[in-house]
Amino acid sequence: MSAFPGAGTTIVSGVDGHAISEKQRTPLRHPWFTLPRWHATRDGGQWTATVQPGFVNAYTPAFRATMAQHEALGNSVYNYLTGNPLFPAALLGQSAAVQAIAPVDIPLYLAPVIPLTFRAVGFDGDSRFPVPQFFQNLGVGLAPALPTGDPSEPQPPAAAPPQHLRLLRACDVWLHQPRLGLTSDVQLNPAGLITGDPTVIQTLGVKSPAPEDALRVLAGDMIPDTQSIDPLSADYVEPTFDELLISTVFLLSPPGTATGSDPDGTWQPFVRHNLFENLSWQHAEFHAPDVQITNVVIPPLAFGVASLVINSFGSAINQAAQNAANILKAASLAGSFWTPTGGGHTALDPRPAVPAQSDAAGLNKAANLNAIGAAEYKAKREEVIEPAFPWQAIPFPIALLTAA
Amino acid sequence: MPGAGVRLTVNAMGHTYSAAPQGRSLNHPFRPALSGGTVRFVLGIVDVFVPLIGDAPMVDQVTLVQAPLTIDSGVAVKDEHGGLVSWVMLEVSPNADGVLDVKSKIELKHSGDPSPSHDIALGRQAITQLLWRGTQCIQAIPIVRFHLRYQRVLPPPAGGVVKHFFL
Repeated sequence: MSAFPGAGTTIVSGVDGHAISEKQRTPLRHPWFTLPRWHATRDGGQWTATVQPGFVNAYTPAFRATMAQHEALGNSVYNYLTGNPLFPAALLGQSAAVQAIAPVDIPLYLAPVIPLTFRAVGFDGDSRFPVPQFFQNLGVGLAPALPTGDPSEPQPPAAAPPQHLRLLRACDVWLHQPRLGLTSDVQLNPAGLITGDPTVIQTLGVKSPAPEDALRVLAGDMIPDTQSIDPLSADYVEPTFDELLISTVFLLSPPGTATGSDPDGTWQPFVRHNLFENLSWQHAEFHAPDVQITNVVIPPLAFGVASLVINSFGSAINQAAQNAANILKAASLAGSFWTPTGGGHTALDPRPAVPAQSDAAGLNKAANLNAIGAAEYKAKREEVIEPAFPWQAIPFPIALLTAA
Repeated sequence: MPGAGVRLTVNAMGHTYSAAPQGRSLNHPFRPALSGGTVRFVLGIVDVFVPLIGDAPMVDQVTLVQAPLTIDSGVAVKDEHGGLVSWVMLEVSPNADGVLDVKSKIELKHSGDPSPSHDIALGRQAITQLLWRGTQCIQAIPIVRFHLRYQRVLPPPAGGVVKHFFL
């Protein structure tokens, strides 16, 4: 008689003999599932990732790099579906030097390897980037507080790294969807400002994305567009793209790694996904905003440009600024993402959304219980870096159901 | 000894230890499966209706038979990367009030054009992308993984286009 491991089992050998156990469950790979890998080369190596194809409407994004970069990463610049090159036919007769710098888009369904570039987070990183509790539990130190006070005064010495410190690096992977962007040109009548009868002419326009821009996946530091808008600017230009974080890849160093070290194959990867489902996307339509401003003349749209001639504001420049800001907000061409889920979008405990303030006097039992529940929920979420299935989706923006 | 979750089978050949299959795939609504020039789907519901493939429901709710959707390489088009692709589209025809009823056509169709419709009487949503190598379909990638609800939005009086949302 002999024993065989059957389906779904694995043999683990130890000093006490053999044990047959269930195989570890392979994680379910949802759209946008990001899988980091150490790409070893003769000269060292690099951390890379592949992203499971996800869709925006009916299309999957591509990863763009030069042909030389693709070849260094092991990406085939030939489409295995056709056997044809992914680069433009015009490049075929060009020299190798010209071909090497040509950008080539590889769609996610061809599983391109994406190089990752990391920012330092934690003890040797920028204190603006928070360290998730999950990594603090694993030994990652927080960034020392920046010195305050007069910089000309002697500063305290830099804090020594704690023993067995683990370092953290992070890299964002995000989606880039080109779209039209709003432009605004505000002309102030200085003479009117002096006489107390200012005239403001705000001209709205539309800027197209660059012709070579495309639905893409990018990796690096995703910096959301948080520029403060000067509504009276003569050259305000909205971004010509919508972006959405797919995932953040974290690398955790072995204990005792020297600060400032570059990550290598000994570091442990973790992924925190932000997207789990395919997406629908709807661009906004350009239209003259419906704002309640007296004495506004809206000429007919011509060549995609709307001039809002705003005459004789009753008050001064601050009202003009507020009105211009309202117009920018109302006419924004930012698009909307959502996941078609049939209505629902989350299976998470909605309790933290409920205001949960414990009653200082301890007399409001409902509030106290709610606060305890919310704290437990928060602590439980922070113990993991990735939520368990079922995942959260992006809700449908119901504002789209009202005709613009 | 069999451990937790492990089944021990003893027969003339010896002992076999097995465990329940560990699924790494999600059997979601509208999940496609290729089979010899056709594609079949796990049941997906639009509002409260079962889409048709031809004249048959995509999944017969009594026999649970999945109707095959015949796919033709001639429909596939080149995408911007040169690959041959096509889509399975959900097409719906709302009534005059913009909602689906028992008389509405709710169909799955093979198409080379995934663009949304701005026709007041036709809504379109890509369900699956099909990848082709020559005349052979080699992969079906699901785009929709949930049951769907449909909503039509008419343009404002100032102008615009009809929008069909699948949410």
